[in-house]
Amino acid sequence: MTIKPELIKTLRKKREQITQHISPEKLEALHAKGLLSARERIDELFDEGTFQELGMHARHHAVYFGMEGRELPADGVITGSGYLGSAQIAAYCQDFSVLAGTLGKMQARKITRIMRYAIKTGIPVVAFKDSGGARIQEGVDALSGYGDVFYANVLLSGVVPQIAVVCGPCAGGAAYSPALMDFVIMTRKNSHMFLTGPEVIKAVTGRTTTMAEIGSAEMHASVSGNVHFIAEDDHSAIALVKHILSYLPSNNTEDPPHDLSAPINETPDRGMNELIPENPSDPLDMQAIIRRLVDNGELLEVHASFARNVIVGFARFSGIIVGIVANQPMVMAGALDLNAADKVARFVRTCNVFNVPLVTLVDVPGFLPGVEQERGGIIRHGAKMLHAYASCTTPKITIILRKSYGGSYLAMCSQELGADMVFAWPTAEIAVMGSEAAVKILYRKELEAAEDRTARAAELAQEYRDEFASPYEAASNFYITDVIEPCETRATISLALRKTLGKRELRPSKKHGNMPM
Amino acid sequence: MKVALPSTLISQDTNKGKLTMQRLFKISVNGKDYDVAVQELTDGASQIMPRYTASAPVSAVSTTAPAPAVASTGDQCAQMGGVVVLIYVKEGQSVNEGDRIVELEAMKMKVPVVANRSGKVTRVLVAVGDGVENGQALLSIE
Repeated sequence: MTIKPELIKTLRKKREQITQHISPEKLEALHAKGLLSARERIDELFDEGTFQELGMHARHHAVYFGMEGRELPADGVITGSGYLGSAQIAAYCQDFSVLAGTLGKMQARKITRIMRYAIKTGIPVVAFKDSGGARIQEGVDALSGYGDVFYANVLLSGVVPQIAVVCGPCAGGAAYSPALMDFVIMTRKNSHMFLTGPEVIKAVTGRTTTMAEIGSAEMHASVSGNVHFIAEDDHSAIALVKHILSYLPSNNTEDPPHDLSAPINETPDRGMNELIPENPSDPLDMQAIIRRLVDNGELLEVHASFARNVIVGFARFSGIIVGIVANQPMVMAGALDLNAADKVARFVRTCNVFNVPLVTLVDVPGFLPGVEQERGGIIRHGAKMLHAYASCTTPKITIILRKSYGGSYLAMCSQELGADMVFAWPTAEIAVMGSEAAVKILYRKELEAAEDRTARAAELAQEYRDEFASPYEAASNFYITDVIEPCETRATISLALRKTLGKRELRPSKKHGNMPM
Repeated sequence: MKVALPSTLISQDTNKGKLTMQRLFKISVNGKDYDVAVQELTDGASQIMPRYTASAPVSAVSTTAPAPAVASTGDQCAQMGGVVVLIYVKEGQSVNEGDRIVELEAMKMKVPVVANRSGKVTRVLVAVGDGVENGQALLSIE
């Protein structure tokens, strides 16, 4: 018995038609722009020979507008799974060379199938978005297709990590799929993302705008906050995907890939002291502090150019993977505002669903006062931080470096919000409000009677600061686990993390909390 | 608010007892024009009678400080409201991106403002001691 040779020939021919439809000249033109073809992206993501494609031969059923019998290789999307080291990853990549990567019913079915495969097997999903939008020829089927993809995004949310790489156009409703995923990467030059483009904006509002103003990677990373990372080109975007995945478990039932064999270095790090300004009103550079504390100085910053008054990102402490949340006093004095609150709340929730312990580094003068802030809903936004921290059941270690006042003390994961251990430096000032403001209330009558009111207020403020704006008032009331020297910080956090990794916290069962939005 | 008066009424020596006829005025409030008729009463007080009702309500004239100048390219703006405590550069001085150019004080903290581009300082728009608003231009670099 032997298989008829023409059968093999037909299969090989079909495979070739589907996988090699881009001419070498066109490929070269893509590469010159920093783009890869859809198949090249998939090949670059996975270890060689491990990718298995799902539905290579799937085709559309559209008949109107000249679609009947039209050959669209893989229906414009490559879906499947492969290995990255020992971890299986599911991926799909829209193929812009096939009818501009537009999405119709079959493309949506292929995408949702690989997503359901990912949730069944408990593996992350990487989605390359490179599409002109809905396949208009398919009418409401295309619209329905988007709905199916969004539903699957939500189904997977909190179960397996989902990473979107926007490496081409992602316009209209299509933009909601990345928005529903855990991390969004955009390539700097070749991608844009918006709901309504410049022409529609012009027609409806009369305002002339540009693609860069409403949809560039730069804008989304720094202004709208829709995007977490910018990559220079397709190569660096894929490298970034692998880097992000190195901090995450495959799904919500697993722990992140900690290296528990790494030793804890207990040598005091005297160099820390040099990073702390003597004068409490001089800002401390939190970036420098973080990079000195974490393994190899490596911090994968998330939302690096958005709300820079806080820093969030992934790092390791003696092998333990953590999410870091820290105020950055170099920007806006490190005060918490609308965007900072959103950034922190989102990151804390991301860490919680994937069992990543949190290390919070506090140096915060307060929530930013102002009309814009109050009218913008800082209460509602700040409440997201409280809700996210209090809901988070992963190990939570907090270090209070310097300022920690009022509501922002609580919002930065105080003991009351569920921190397992809170350490403070001797430079910490923990108080219900700043000394100057406090004495105005506490000594109102005395100040009114004073001859030189300003001098007396300054004197009282200093007394108040000495007495109360220190870590010892809070420590004596047992709101602080211990007061430590800055040089002991790295070893203290590392040890605390090891000890709290096995933490179990059972709460009443519910559908989900009702986080303020 | 600007009021364009008919020239005949600018002079106050008009015999007020005899001035009973209505006069039309064009009043411009926040860029919107309103036509009003004014009749002087015997006691000398003026009564303004609306002749044309605008669809938009007449809002009180804004008494707040003028909005900060709209930032143009090269303007270095405050990231938050505060008081200018130090200006590190002078007009004509060259700066590099990332250099500290101004220091503000806000929330009892010193807030550094760094240049977002390299170039020459063409204008310094604030002085030490000035209160500045979020987004206000502090100086210009070309």
